[in-house]
Amino acid sequence: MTAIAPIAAIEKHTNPLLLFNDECGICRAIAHWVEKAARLPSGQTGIDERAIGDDPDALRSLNADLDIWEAYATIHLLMPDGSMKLGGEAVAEVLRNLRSTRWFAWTFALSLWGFRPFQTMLNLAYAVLADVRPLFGCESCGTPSVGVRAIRSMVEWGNRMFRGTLEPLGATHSINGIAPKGIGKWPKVRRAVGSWVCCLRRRWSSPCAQARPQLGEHDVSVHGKRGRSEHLSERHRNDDRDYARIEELPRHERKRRQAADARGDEKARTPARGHGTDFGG
Amino acid sequence: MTNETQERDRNLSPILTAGERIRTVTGKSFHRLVLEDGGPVVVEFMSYGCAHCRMIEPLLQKVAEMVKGQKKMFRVNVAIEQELADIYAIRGTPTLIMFSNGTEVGRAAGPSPTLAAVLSAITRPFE
Repeated sequence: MTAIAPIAAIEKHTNPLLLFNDECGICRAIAHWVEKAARLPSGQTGIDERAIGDDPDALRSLNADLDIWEAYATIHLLMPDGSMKLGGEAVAEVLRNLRSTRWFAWTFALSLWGFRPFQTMLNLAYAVLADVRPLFGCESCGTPSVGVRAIRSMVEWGNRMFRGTLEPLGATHSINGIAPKGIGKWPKVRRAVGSWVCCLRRRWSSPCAQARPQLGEHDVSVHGKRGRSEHLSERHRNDDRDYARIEELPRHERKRRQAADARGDEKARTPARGHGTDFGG
Repeated sequence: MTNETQERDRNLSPILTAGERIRTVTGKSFHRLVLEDGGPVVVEFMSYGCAHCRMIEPLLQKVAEMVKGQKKMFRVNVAIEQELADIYAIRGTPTLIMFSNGTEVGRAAGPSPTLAAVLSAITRPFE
């Protein structure tokens, strides 16, 4: 017997409902920003949010026309009147509903002889962002489009140059944090791109930049399902610790520690901020 | 039919949503529908958040239409059925596993997203 899944009763919502891909780091960050920006002084919120999740029936209960595959492919905003806005239109609607962006969001509705220049630019910007998402560690965002695929050639070139440290993109989505041999190469690409982003963030003179040659030594399984930010922060801690070890203490700090050692005062022996070796976890 | 009976039937029956030819099986119904079935059965281990699964989904629907009556096709959502994913050592999605008389006769991890490749991956193990 085959059960036909019944369409559940449509859930009513009073605010626009933003569906976001909770497996994508950029999407999560944007959703978090929207959540904060949509919070009203009264404690209420102007936009509700919900992760897409894994249940197609639960999504259909929000809107009968909502397909879970499409929800993962592009941003969806469900309006209280039952309509849906997708892609750049959804972004414009979100910006119109936020207090901090409302002042310029009206431009997206501006129409010149039936052509909406700002909305078109926003659609283009959204399309570009959606294309580059996979390069920032999103396994569920799809294959990069033609413009971004040039990076793939660079990765393959890098693979030859760096003797297999980098590898081309795979055809499967790795699960359980394990990238099997021959498939699921995203973690390695993520590592390469992640190190580049990390260095931009911390500037080239930071320990991160100096630690770049060591980035290929991490085990792939470490990268799997853990968030990139978590992984990077751990790496920075390790880097900081390494650099702290080779850093020579200033004279006043050495004297202070020698005095503390002479007194047997363990508390005073604790390093001053910025010069310690015990950075802990 | 009582509510209890309806609930039991729902748990043990494959879930088929409108317009789909591939049915979703759960851990409860997997044994009965896949392993106890005498004929050829194809199971796709997938997750909705997987871009590669999204890419081959329309192709799988087409292939399911082409092999209708010869092979049964099911899907397992590994995000929910993690135990099944562990049992069958699923390392990435999409992974297609072909069963015959309840025994695995072949598998294809991440087939190329072309109709020929998907059809070949599904039919070859049964030849």
